Amino acid sequence: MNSSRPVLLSAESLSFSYNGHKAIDGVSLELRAGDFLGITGPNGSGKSTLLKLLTGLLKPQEGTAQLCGRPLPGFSAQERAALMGALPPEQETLYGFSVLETALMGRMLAAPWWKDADAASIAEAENALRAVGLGGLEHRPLTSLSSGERQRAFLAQALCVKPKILVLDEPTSHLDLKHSLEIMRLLRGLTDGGLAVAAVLHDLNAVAEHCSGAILLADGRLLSAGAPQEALNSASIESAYGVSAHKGESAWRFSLKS
Amino acid sequence: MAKNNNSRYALLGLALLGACAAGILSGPVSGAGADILLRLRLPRTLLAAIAGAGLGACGAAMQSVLRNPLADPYIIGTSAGAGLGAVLALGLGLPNPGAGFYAFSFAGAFCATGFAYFMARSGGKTSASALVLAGVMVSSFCGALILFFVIARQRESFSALIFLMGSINEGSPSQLICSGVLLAAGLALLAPQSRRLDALSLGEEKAFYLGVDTEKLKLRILLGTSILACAAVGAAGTVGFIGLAAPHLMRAAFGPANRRLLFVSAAFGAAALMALDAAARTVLAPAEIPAGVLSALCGAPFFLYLLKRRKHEFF
Repeated sequence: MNSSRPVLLSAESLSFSYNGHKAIDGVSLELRAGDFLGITGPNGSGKSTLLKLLTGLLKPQEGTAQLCGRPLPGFSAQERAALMGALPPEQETLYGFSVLETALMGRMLAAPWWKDADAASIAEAENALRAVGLGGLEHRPLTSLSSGERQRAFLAQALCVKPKILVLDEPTSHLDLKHSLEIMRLLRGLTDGGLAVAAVLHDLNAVAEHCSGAILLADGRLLSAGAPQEALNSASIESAYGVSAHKGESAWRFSLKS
Repeated sequence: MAKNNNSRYALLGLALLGACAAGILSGPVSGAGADILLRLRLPRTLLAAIAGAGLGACGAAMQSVLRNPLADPYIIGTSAGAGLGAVLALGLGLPNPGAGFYAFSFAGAFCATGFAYFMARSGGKTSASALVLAGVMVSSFCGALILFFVIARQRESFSALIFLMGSINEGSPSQLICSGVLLAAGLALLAPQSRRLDALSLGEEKAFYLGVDTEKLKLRILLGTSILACAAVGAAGTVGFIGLAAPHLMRAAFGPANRRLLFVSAAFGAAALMALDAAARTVLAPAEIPAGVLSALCGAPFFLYLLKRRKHEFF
């Protein structure tokens, strides 16, 4: 990775346990402007916990996370949100906010409650919605959308704040093939513009194809890290997932060990 | 979002005016008509409006902060807690209205809601069904304590029963002022939080990532809803289901954004309780039914309808 770009998010020896079970154990990483980091690993390896530690949702029991060179706990909620947007996994949506209202939420949070959104904010939200492929659905209620469409509406919401860092937990999990590819292309385009993205991804071929860096977690520990072709190799994949992995001409192929 | 809500606002305004007129004009009349209307019916109707508005806004805020469409001050124990506080205050000889009476009522509402929420919360999440069950238990416990008190101190039994049944009396100007000020204070505390409340209604994690200090916000909402419940209980005792139904119906008409929903739910709640109180005076005239009985007769089937619609979460 290019070391001339500023480090936006870093973690030093992060550890976190749930009821005595170590979910993250001594993980360190660095995310620079323009990086697209794929975080991968088997179920229960600590990927989502790591994201929660990186975003400040969980406080590490050991180690520190820094945002733009400052310890994360020193940020107010609003300061942090202005720099770092995040997309949690899909949750049940109870109330039918319109797609446009949803996208606008991040921008309007600090605005006086009696004021309607200004034209610039609405234009920004509409741009973000078009970018995630929801142009034309601005006035549809969230409750009438498919889970994939909802996930894209929330991605637009995160983009609307114009953060420097975007942290995503399985952003393509509810998306069909076309929308999945479109979102990965969109994220790559955004990193070309200087945004730093860290995303939990299960598809190792997507990590290899789209990400500039990858980390592979197993049992809460960092098994390998670096460029995708270095971090994801037959030995590390077999060790993490317990499956046989063979690199074909253009993609990984996996099989159960006999 | 830019949809024109003018006709809906006009309908809501008409409903408010109609309910207010019904509240003032209906019921048995004895003695000089105009005098009764001004001295008795008008303050009573205004008390009903204040209580209904408090319950409507309180329900709207609760349903958003708890991410639970079944939340309502009656169901999760807030009203029962406020009622218990009020009855204890009466037992201690504190007059209604009065600062001590409202302080007890507020403390009861705050503790009951906080306790139900604490009991329902597990692993950073609050399940809808656990909250309703915890609320039922808190309500039962507070109700039992009120009954215990009624039997132990027979002198105050009638005023105490008012809080169990939900009934509106011919309010004094000071009762109107106290409840009105509390209603305004509760709304003034909640309205500036309405955008954050919108974010929280999408989920705690989402709100956190959008820059909401979720713990601070929940505490503010708990304070605001307890003040509103206290205003309502001070005016009308524990009236159920208006806090459940008003936000549901208003959300369908005006959308879920809390900066509108809080106020239109308050307006609808006010209209509903004024109309129910008018009906309570006329259905079995000259006898009066407590308005809380009528609200339960209408509201309980509505709750069951919602429960049935969301059965996948409960069973």
